[in-house]
Amino acid sequence: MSYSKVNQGHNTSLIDQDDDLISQDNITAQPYIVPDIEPDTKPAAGINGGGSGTGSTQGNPPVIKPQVPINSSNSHVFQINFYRQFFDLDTDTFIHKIQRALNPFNNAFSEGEENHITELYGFIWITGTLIFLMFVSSTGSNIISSWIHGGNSTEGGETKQYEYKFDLLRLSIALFYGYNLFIPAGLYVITSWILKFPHRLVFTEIISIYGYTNILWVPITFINFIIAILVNNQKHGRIANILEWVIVLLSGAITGASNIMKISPIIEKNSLILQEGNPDVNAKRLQLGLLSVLIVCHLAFTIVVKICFFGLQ
Amino acid sequence: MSNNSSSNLNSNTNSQYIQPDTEEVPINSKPAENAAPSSSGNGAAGGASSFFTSFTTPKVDLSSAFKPFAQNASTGNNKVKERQYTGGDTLDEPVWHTLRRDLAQIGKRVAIVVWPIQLQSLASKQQSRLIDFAQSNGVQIPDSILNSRMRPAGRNNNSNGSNNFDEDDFEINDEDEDEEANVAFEDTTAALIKNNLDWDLWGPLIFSLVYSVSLGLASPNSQTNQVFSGTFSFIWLFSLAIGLNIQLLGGNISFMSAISASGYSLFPIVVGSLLCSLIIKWKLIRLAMMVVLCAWSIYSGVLSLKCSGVLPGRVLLAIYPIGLMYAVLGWLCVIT
Repeated sequence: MSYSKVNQGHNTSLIDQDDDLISQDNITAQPYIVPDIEPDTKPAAGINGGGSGTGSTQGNPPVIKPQVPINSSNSHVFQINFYRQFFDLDTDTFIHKIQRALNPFNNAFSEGEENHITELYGFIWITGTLIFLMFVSSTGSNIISSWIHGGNSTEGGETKQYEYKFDLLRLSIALFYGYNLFIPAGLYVITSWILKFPHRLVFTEIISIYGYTNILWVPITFINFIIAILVNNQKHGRIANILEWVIVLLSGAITGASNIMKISPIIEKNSLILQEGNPDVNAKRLQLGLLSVLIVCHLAFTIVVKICFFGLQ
Repeated sequence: MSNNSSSNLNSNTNSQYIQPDTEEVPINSKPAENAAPSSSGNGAAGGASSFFTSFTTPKVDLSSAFKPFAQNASTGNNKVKERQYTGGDTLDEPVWHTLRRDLAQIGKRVAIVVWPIQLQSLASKQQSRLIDFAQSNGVQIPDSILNSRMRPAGRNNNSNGSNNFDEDDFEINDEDEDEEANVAFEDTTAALIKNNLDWDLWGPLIFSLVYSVSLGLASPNSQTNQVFSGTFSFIWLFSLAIGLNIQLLGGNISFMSAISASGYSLFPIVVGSLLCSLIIKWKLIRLAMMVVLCAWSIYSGVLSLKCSGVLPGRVLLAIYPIGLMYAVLGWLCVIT
């Protein structure tokens, strides 16, 4: 980082081996080094509360800059500062977004202004949480069912204990991250470079839509436990299987609907504009085609989830 | 630094010729700076005497070369910062000393993890510093945090003459009071800061190895290799992701320091994995034990991250992946 060298002079560049760090004491030392600061700027900023960004930045000499995406637009793709703009998020905002994503039928995502950047924190860690919960649900329900129901079933003289498969963890990581990454990527490539939409979809926004939708998968991990406790898998394997199919397909339908609800307004707007420019294009058919491709992909994903985590039987 | 005692002698004899600026050197700055005027002013004679008094003194003291640069601006700038533990002068001492010092360093950090509550005051202090820092640099901070911080200050304005003045003194952030508090604070917890801000990867390496070996041995024979390699690489990839995540969220904590903090906080879970694979076979007891140990790990991880300086308002976002990783590792212990 070049700014720390420039701003703090030659003394720190010799002593600080790693320029990326900001020495902790600068925080308190700052009012004493810098003479330009008025002594009442800090309390004023505190009283202003949330609007502190406007008042205090002006008279503030550039002593140290925080590692927060203030101006990451002019940094290079290979600098870490470039990626800070995708992680510009507060806890309160995050919780608010999660609450909004819990309702599958609002399309608040499409109302944002054009070309704004959506954070990727939600995509990465919500998907990670989902993978963990699916793994816990799959292995845990097997353990519970062998514990509750499987005590009397003996094979070859000794009770057969459930052994988890470590492969499942790797497989699920590949499955969930892969689906939530490659489908938005494919959609982005097709719409912006093959169909040439006038208002491009924002790549990070589609990924973020898919990522936040993953919250809606979470209930089946709990329902799966209940099924494992209530239904004896050995005696009534067919019933358990049907129940699992039902819950997986149901949550697949909900998540798919949620994705479609959020993406379709943008596609509709774009295809209408395309139709105006070129009379050969049928907006209705274009929109339906794109959405049906997405739906088919989601259906396939749902079936794979069922087979991976609950077995085919 | 082991050369402190021998070189202090020199600086005492020298002080009539050269006025050393020792008054301005902060309390916990490097002792090498005290030694600097001696070797620069005395030249060959001073160097020779220190050479004979002790063999542990470094023969070339480069800190004198940095002295003019370090004196120019206020030296208080670089008092506390995170850095890799370098171990001091290790060339002339027995290997056993070096190893023992490293082990002691690891042991101290593990002790912090085992009893994380000693970091509590340090964490809250650092957080309030960071809020000041963020405010004066124009970083957006959620209103809830600002409000919770505003309350004590406002109460102080209203009730200047009343009894609870002492209590408020501690919380408001007037400049001189803050400074006084800082001095006292740094006296008591300087060692803690140092232990917490130094990072090394020995602890994480040892813990991840112990964890994966115990899980691999406990798993059925057909899966041993797979489980060992899988968990080991999982821990390190996840640590990389955590370090990147903290870097991207902002704050002034380095990548390696974040990995080190999250790796050392793994300790309770490693103990749990040993207990699970060796002693306890009953899964319900395992589950209860691992829940407690995971909570312990997460708590110590939160505190050490707060001390290292994640931006307030984002601590939850920074800590959540660490909690996720501990949960995965704990669950793997339970089901093995």
